[in-house]
Parts: sequence; C-alpha cells; structure tokens
Amino acid sequence: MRVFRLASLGLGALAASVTSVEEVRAESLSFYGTPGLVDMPTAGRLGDGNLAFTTSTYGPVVRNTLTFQISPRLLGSFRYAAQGPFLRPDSEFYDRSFDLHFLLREEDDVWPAIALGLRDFGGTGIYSGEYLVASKWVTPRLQLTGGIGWGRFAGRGAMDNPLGILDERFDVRPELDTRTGEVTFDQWFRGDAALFGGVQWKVTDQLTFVAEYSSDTYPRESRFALEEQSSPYNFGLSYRFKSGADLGLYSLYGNKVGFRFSYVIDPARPRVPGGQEVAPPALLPRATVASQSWNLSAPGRRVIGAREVLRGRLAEQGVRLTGYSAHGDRAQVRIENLAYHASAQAVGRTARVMANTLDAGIERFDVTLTERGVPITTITVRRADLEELEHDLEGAWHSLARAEIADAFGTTRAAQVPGVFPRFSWGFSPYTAVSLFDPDEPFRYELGVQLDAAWEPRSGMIFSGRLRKELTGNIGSATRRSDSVLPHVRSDSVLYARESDIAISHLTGEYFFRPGDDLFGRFTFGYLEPMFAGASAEVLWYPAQSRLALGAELNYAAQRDYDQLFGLRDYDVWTGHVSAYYDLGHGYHGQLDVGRYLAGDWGATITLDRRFDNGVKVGAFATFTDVSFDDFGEGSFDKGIFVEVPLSWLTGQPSRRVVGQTIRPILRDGGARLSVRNRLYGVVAPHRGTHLDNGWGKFLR
Amino acid sequence: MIRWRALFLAAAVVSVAGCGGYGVGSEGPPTPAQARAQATARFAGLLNAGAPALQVALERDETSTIALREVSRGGVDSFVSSDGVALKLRRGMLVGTAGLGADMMGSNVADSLALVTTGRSGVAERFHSFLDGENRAVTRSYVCIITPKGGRGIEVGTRDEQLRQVTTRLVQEDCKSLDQEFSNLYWLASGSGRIVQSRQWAGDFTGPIVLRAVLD
Repeated sequence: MRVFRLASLGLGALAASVTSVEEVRAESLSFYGTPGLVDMPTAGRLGDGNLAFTTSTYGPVVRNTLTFQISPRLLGSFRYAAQGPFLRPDSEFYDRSFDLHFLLREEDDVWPAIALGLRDFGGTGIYSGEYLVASKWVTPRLQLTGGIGWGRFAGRGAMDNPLGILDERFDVRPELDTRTGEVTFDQWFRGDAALFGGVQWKVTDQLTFVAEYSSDTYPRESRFALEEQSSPYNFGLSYRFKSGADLGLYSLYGNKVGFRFSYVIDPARPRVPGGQEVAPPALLPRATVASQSWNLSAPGRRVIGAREVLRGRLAEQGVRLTGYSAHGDRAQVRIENLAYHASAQAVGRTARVMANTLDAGIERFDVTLTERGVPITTITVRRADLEELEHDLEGAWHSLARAEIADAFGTTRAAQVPGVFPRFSWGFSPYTAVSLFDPDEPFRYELGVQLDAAWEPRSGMIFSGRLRKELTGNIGSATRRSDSVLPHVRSDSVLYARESDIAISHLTGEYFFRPGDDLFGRFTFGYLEPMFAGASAEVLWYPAQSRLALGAELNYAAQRDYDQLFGLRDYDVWTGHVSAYYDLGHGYHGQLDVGRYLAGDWGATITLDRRFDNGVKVGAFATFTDVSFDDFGEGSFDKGIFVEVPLSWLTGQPSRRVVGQTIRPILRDGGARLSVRNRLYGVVAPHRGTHLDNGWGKFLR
Repeated sequence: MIRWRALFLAAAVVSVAGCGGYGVGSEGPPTPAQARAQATARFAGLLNAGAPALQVALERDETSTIALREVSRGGVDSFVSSDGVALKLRRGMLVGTAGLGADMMGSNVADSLALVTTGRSGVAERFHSFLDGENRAVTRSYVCIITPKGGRGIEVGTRDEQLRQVTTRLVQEDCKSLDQEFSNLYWLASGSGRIVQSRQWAGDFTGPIVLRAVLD
C-alpha cells in the first residue's frame, strides 16, 4: 500500500507538468476568429465547449466573429464583416458568413495535428475557401504550420489542383451561382490551389509571436478599400490576459497595421463555480424538531400550525408552498420554485425545511414541483436518507439514487394552501431590444420600460399583459422597407417599431392543465405576441424520466396593427406544428418541428443545441419550407444561432432568469413561427428527466 | 465575509436590466440582500443564546468574521456567519462549506482525523467532493503525510475579548492528489486534545481558511 501511494505521488508530479504545457498552448485566434495565425488557419482547436468573440481590423475591413467549439473536434463560426467600399467606391458592404473547422487528427509525438476547414460555406461567398492544414509543436513553445487552400486561399502562388489527379472536375472552380444562404457544395476543393504556412512562438505564457506567409491577395478589397499588398508576409504580437481577453497588434501585408481583440469564455467555468448563495439550513436533530411548539401541544391548542411555519420557512428559501397535507408517516407538499435555476436545489431545500419543521413521526416527504399552476414531477425523499446523507462524501449522488422521481399526475392529495389564489402580481422593469445587420446601421437598439401584470384566479389560469414604452432607440428610424413577395408576417418589424408608442407586447388568458399521465395541456388566447393575436392550443407528452418528448400545437393567428394596440390587419392564418424533443446525451439536444408557418408555408425546423449542466445553452436552427429560395429572398431560408446564459451563471446568486440572444443573419417571412409564450416544453423541461438529474449536484446546496 | 459578495452585485444589476420581468410589487424570492439579512437575524439569535464561536479568516481575500455553531448532529458541527456562509467541522476538521463558491459538499477525513488527534505521524487518505462549474459534485482523493511538529504556545481569544495563553501540539498534514496539493496545520490543546486553531484548505476556489476557537 505504501509503495502504491508513493507511486501515485510521482504520477501526480508528472500530471502537473503535463497540465502546465497544455496551459502554455492556449489557442491563438486568427483575424477570422478561428484557430490560426493572422489570416491563415492552424490545425488548432479551442477547449471543448468554449465560446470565442473576436474583432479584427485591417484598414476598413472589420470582422466580428463568434466561434463555438461544438464538440472536441468540430468548431463552428458565425461572422459579420464590414468590408468598406467593396462593390462600388461609395458604399459600405457588409457580409455574413459561416465557417466549419474539423480536427481530423490530434497531434502526437511524431505527427502533426491535421484539420480541414470550410470558410464561408453558405454566404455570399466573398470569403469562400477550403483548406487542409497541419500544425506541429516542435518544441513546447514553437509551432510550425503548413497547409493547402482552395478558393480564396488560392490567390497567391496558385497551382493546378492536386485533386485533379482524382477527377478532372476538380481542376475548375465553377462560377459562384448560388444565392446567399445556399451551401456551395459544387465549389468545394475545386479550382486552383495554393500553399500557405507560418510559425507561432509562445514567448511567455501570455505573449505570443506569429509570422505567416499568406496566400490571400485580397483582390476585390484592393479595388477600393485597401491599397495593393506590398508583401505576402504578416507578423503579429498578442498578449493574453488572465481574464480570457487577448489583444494583438499586427503588421499586415507589408503596409498596414492591424488589431485583433478576442475574448474566450468557457461556459463550464463560471466565475463562481456552483454559486455563492446563502447556505441552506442545517438539519436539526430529530429530538429538537419534535420539541418545537407546533409539534408538541394538542392540535386545538397550537398557536401556529406546522403548515404556516413551513410556509414561512420555505418563503425564506425562495420556495412558495401552494399545497400541503400530512397523514400518517407521509407529508405531501406542492411548491413553486421561485429562486433556483436547478429545480433539484429547490427540492433539496424544501425537503430539509420539512425535516426541520414537521412532526418527528413523519418519515416520507413527497415534494411536487409545480409550474404555471400545474403539478409536474413528484420527488419522494425519506427523512432518514436526508439525515444520513447530509454529511456524506457523495451525498448528492446517493440522494439521487434513493429518491423516487415520478410524474405528478394524480399522485398528490395535498390540500391547497389558503391564500395562494387568487393572486395578483405586477412589476416595472427596464428592457432592451436590438436589431442587427441592417446595412445602413448594423446595430440598432431600443431602450424602454415595461409594465407587467398578472392575475391568477385559480391554479393554472393566468391572465397577464405587458405594456412597453420606448424611451430611446433607433430601430423605428430604419428606412428599408420589406420587398418580400410573401405575406409580410415578420418583415414589417420596422413599421411595428415606428408606428407604436405605448405598445401592448401581449395581453392573454392562459390555461395550463394535466389531461392525463405524462400529458400536459395549454390554451392561450388574446394578443399573443407583438405581431399576432389569436388562439393557441397545445398538448405535450413527456414521461418523467424520458429523453423524448412529443408535442402538437394548433393556432389561429391574425396579424396585429403596427401600433400594437387592439386593432388587427386583414391577414389571418391557421398555423401549427408537431414537435419532437430529444435529449441526445453528453449535453446535446435536438428538436424537430414540422408544420405550417405564419406565411402559410409548410415545412420543418431543425434545432440542435449544446447545453451545459449549469444552464448555458448554445445552438443553431434552420427552417426549410415549400417557399422557394427565390421567393424567400436574401438568405434563401430562415436560420440562426442562439446563446442563453442563466443570470446565476453571471452573478453566482440564485435566479431562474436567463439572458439570451438569438442572432439571425436576416429575418424574413418564410419559415416564421408564431412566438406564443410558455410553450409547454419550456415550462415542463426544467422539472423533468435529465434536466432535473443534471442539477442534482445542488440538491444538498 | 461581506466584501467578496459586493463584487458581484454590480454585475447583477446590469444584467437584470437586460431581461425585464416581474420585479416590484409581486411576491418573489428573497433577493440576495434579503437572504443575507435573514441569515444575520439567525446569527443574532445564536449570539444571544451564547452559541460556541469560531474566528474565521479567508486568505483568498483577507477577510475575517465570526461564525457561530447553529447545529451539532451526527458528529458534525455546523457554523454559520452573519451573512449566511456555513462551515461544517468534524471534531475541528473542515468537512464542508456552503456559500463560498465551489463549495466542499462532503468529505471523508476519518484517517487523517485519527492520526492528527492522537498525535501520531503516518500516511492517510482523505476524500472531498466539490461543486464544479457545471453544478456537479466531483469527488477527489488525496494522499496525506501527517507529521507532529511538537509543542507551541499560542494566544487564543476568549468570549470576553481577552487573550489567553494556550499550550498546544502542532500537527502538519501535507496532501497531494494528481493535480492538487495543500498543507493543513492543526494546533491541538494539550490536555483536552481539542483543535483550538487550524489552517485548512477548503478547495481550489476558496483556498486556505484559518479557524480559531473562541474560548469561554
């Protein structure tokens, strides 16, 4: 045993030295925001799941890139570039592009890492190019890179395509005949090819020097925006701060100075891991609980009942008690989790407050999570397990293994706590909205205040509304008008912003209910969203421990007036979808919606996202309908990416709020879905299946 | 322990502004400030009741505070500070934290405790689980070498704010895992064998905590 332990200490020292080398190799990002030198790529990658924001400037060419390491080997980027005067000398040109970068093999002692990349594979094509690149760290601090590129990469020193040996078709790159948004399959790896390469030297852990031979000659940028290059060589120095910020200064093509700023975030590492909220109550010895006054005297003589004590103590924990009963050795409660991003934490705190409050003879606690008034999942916890596991080394996992988790339909007989309904709530808050990528003004915003109010006459029934008043902003001052040949279901957003003053964002009645085992239902009617009024009905099937959920939704929607008050326009439509939601495991999640969209078009939306157990979510979606790419207009089809971050991730304090942004390269009328609030999957999922399990680490926190 | 929280409040305000929602006028969850105020009230109650006290100092941000024993159950003493941070000790050895970030969720320190309290040298294994950035409790094991360092006279504060000379035995514990290492120090009162002062590691995020008993 002694020998083994000493050996493991030696191993520890070895592992420590390996880790420090890894840290030295924090990835350098290029002007395109992907692993690279200056303009040329390397066969690198970011840490799994990392997000990187990069801004770089080369004269008037400014590129803003959001890069996500989708899986350990696959990296995707979205880029918005200002090209300066490009097509004509007097007008700014903006371009959106998507990249993929795939690590084919990892570096080992002898062989280099090899990566394959597709740059701008689905945009207007001005950056279109493909590459195959190899990189090798020849010393722990010096990396050599060499590669071959096609398309834009074949600008300098172009040679015949070596792939021509395989097939003559590779010799010629066809003219770009795709519209924006189409994938340019027929161009990939075709036409001339050229070689590029460079070195990267980590001078210190923070300071990096790069030098490259670039095969990109910027032919189109050189017409108006940039002077002719005087050299193919680029050099740069960059400094990485501990915060994840990375600042670089570059000499570009012999006659320009360039800058780059990058910021890399690891969603798995919030600033305060696990949160810093106030500690939960420690479990009291059962004898102490038994001697509390409400557990002592005869029921008729109690000054205050156990239920009221429980209600007050749960409120302190940010949990609202809506139902309670105690019979024999079993106590049942229905709760609303108001405070915690992880439902498991609300359940854990509730169970411990019950153990500290309720009669010592009660052995089982049934905690039912409710949302929008409907019971969703019931977690049964034994009091003895709580007591045994509170100080256990692996209390969280053991408590998950010992808890019973079941659908709440029909399981709870807890009587409604008096005074919970009817309920009225309201609030004032500021809001922001942004509109991106208008060529006249790429960033438009709106700042204002909103008033929310909700009245819940009984469980599951909610009448609510939101008024918004813009205080300042420039979304409504856009001059571009929709040229869509489809019904203008989304593309008149500027008119909605311009014509409204005090706007009703929504004014609805909602009813949530449980039609049966594993089933959830919703009706919504009224002014559903800023652009549509109508009625919506939805049903969702979602078993308690299932990875799969299925839903169906039917809506009648009438378009609202631009002033966003009570009037309607003369466009109405029946729309609806059947949906499948699937937890793919390892944090990946897929959703498929098939049905009819607002413009009357039929099709499907596929959504894929990666979610971290702390709630950070990064994903992408695309919608294909029977609207032709021509009729759709610029962009060809609806698509976008989204990022969601729980407030608790940012602050380390408990909160159920999530801040998020969906970025669409362009919003048009094809493939547009009604944005009715509180779709059932979003209501149910946080208290269900793997979502509940994944937050279980916070059960005892 | 107030100071390290102030940092995050500014960020919170900015972000809340970004998303809107019900705020004023509704029955909502306690704000972080309200939650701390509740903890302070609990603390005041314990103080009046004369609960056993610990001086606590964090090396990370050079803050110090008093924690009072709220509950003793199953051999573990739970201490809370006035702003709601909890520390769990088993016979003076740190086995849990709550409210510091990357909290120590559970521990098995039986081997170390046996050697330290009996003043023997030897090798012990100890285990801790910490909450990580994805809210998972991750269990780590450490191999520790325990070395008695002999007698030390130290000064320990008393409840009526006097300093009292205490003769102690100092014991050092050096622990390593594959990628972490730390050293704990324990000062045990001669006679009673109680740990009256210690410097104990509370995880990578929090670092070492200095604990000193307040004598009656």
